[in-house]
Amino acid sequence: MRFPQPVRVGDLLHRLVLQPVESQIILGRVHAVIRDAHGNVMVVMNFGGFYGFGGRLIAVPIDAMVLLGQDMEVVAYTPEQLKTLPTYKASAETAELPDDAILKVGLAKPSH
Amino acid sequence: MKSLFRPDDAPDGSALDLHRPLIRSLERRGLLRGGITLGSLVMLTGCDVKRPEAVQQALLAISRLNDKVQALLFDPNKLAPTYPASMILRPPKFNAYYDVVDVKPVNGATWRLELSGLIQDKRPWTVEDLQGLPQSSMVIKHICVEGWSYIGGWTGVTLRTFLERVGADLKAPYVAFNTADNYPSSIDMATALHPQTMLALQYGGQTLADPFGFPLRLRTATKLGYKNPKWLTSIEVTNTYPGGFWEKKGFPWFAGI
Repeated sequence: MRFPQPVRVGDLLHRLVLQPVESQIILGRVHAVIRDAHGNVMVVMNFGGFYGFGGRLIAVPIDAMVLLGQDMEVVAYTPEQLKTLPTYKASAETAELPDDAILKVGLAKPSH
Repeated sequence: MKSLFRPDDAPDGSALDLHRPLIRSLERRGLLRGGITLGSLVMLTGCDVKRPEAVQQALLAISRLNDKVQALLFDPNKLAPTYPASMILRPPKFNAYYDVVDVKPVNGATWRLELSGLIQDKRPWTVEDLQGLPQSSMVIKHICVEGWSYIGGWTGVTLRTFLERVGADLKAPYVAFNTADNYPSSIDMATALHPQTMLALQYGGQTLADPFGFPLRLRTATKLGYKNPKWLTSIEVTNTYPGGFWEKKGFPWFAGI
């Protein structure tokens, strides 16, 4: 168990998203947190850019991510798998979660 | 224009060619390492650098000297920087010498804080007992020896209040801690009595969560992160150097910031 902790959606926005490796490679940055057409909570992040800027938006299930201090990590997908995810587009079926919504997110393994 | 510092008769360029293989093999880190072991160590201690245990002894002696200097420089009345509550990272960053999945939560109902050593009243403490003592809060930076940091908000009993309440010998040099995750630690008495050294029960106004040391952990604003044991189970006041988990592996004991 990764001891999921309550965290405000507003506190997740703009966080760096890292690969869970010692070199802490930056995968992207949190852009929004949404509920998709199937009711799943997804983290929309820009991916494939530089230092979390640029690239395209992808939606990653929040259950695939953990908290590492001020950052987040994607633990359930490899960068190669993230590359295959479709580009995210907001639609009538997706809803952005308000900043004050509280989610429970697991904790990352210490990075040493 | 010719440099003003260039000598009139330059050294023979062939010297560079002669030593090219050696120059190529130089690396910055290797140079530093070589400089430390062969240069400073021999000069400082006169030890035989071919014997690794001699080198280790010398380095530990320097580390102990550093500890003494830090203790001399420590100002018991100087406060570490504090921050507004809006800057508190929620939740805090998890850290331990093992993975978060290996955290063993402590049962707060049966938990007791045991006391030993130079303490008059050694009765064990419950969570409710500790909550009954005067509480204070501080928003301080947690700085890890690894280089990361975060701002956290802690509430609990200052260690000074606690030590005074149980009649600890405040002239003793060491306060030692044991924890449920087998992470022994210890600090100097001056730091233990500093106003920003606390037995923390809460983070961000909420009861400490399991991964962050529930029910009780140490938080001190004047030392590195590894001097802040979580899941405390006992406190000892002693005249004997107690060491600690990382200190046994060669980390500095004082670890002041």
